[in-house]
Amino acid sequence: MGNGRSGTPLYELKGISKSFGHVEALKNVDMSIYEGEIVGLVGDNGAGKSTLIKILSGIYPQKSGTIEYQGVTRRITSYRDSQELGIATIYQDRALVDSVSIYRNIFMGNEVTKPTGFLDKKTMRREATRVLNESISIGIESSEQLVGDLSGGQKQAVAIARAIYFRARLLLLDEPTNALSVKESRQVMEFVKNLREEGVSSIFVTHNLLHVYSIASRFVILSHGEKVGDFEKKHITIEKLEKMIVTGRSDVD
Amino acid sequence: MSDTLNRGAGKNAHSKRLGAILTYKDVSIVIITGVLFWIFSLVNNKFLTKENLFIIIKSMPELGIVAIGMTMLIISGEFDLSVGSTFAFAPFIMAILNERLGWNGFLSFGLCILIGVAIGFINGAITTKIGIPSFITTLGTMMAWRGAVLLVSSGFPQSFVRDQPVAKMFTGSLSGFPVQFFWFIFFTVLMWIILENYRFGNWTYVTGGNRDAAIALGVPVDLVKIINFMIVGGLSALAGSIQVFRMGSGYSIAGQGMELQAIGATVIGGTLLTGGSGTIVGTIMGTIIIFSVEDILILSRAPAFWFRTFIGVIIIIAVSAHVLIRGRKS
Repeated sequence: MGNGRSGTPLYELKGISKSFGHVEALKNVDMSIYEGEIVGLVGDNGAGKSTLIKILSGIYPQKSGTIEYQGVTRRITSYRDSQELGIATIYQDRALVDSVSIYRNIFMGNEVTKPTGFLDKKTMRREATRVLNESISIGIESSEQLVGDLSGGQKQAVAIARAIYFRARLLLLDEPTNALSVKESRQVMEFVKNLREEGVSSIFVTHNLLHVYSIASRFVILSHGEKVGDFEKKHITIEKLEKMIVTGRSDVD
Repeated sequence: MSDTLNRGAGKNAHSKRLGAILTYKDVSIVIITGVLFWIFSLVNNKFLTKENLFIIIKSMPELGIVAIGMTMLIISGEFDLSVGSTFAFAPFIMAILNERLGWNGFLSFGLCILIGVAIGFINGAITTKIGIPSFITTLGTMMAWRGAVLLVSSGFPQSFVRDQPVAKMFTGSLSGFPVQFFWFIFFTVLMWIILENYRFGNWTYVTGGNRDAAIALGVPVDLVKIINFMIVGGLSALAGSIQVFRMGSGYSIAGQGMELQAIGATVIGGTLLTGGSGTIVGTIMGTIIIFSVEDILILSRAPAFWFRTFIGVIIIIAVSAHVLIRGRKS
């Protein structure tokens, strides 16, 4: 147990709980994320992975425990709070709108406007094109294409480009490779790995242990809302990880 | 890395570009309108005369003003069946205040618009805060406000003096054009600017396109919907007032069936009932189509009963055409 790293974590969660009526989805969960670290958040269905992600992204207002950002206690009660702490969520459903263009998606909720109140479309198009070219463009021709016309991998690229543009320090990736082809999955994972070099951390939630094992440097295992394990990759094999997820116990052989 | 990623992009580029032109928002509906006008001019050589086009221009604004509000609401993912009742109720109150209680014309008109906006707010608040489909909310308010106007009118018309400043501001003639047509153009341009060039417009599209995504990115989706309900409510009250100004009376049965015509004009114009997609220009074309069909039937001395049948057929043809043109690219 223990992550064996020194210094102040970028984000530190202590005693996070969440109930839905009588169901305790999260019980007193502690977790820390260091700069440039990819954490695999794993566990069976109903373990509380998505609930934890939703608390970090401000969808479920934080009502218990503390969240520290660079050693300072902050609260996340809305999407804005989460964004201010540099957290960006790449959702399972990708949080994209198929019926509007790429640039309108990238700037959704954060539109650039002129002093007159008009949308500054020129700036948004230019910035969207720039950030797409710098990240993973995967054959996207123009930022005016409708997102609905893109492939699964391209959509993921748009979602990640949005996060990069708004200077995310922590990407929350909730089943990012679920709907992707093998090739597209590899591209997305490659990209997340490259981001780590630039100091961007990620929390990677997935059922695909092969994917998460290949890129994460640490694993946090949840079971029935409780944290049952927290291991550096070098201290755990993929077989042992799988056993822990299935049994919900950390004392497996 | 980007080399491998860009591979394969070239081969579809040509067909994609062709698709982009064909689907470019309003092109298909403009083509459909053009073709219809061409057919109608063959059916009756009076159709494309100046006099006849003026008749269409004069009759369009009332439905058109309601339809542009309906378009914004549908893009945001909801719709409003109560527009016809608002169209009758709010201006009827205006006529009572002005005629029976001696209120100033502008003051009663202002209150009429506020009533429309308030009706929209009620529709929006019930729909978003209680979480029932707007079909149900507005089906209820459609009947409720129609009942209210029947109650206050006892079924009798309420006269309104046409020869007063507020009526002249919205009806009558300006260098040969009906004044209400300029108001229609004004609101068309205003709503187009809001939808295409303002943050609220972008929020309207994304709210209807993917509500969860919009919420996740901090867009206040309930507020966006409520404001759009208020816009359509206010515009319905305005359109109803124009009818009262034009006819010199308020009628308790005014605007019956208008909700379906407004939704018809919107879907003919290519707006998806599922939300997230649509344009004001398309709706204007849809409104033009509806009135051209009515006009050509009158010109051809066809029985008036055919009107609804034709509109019904045209709705299906127009929407099918949109689907087929869009579908070609995939």
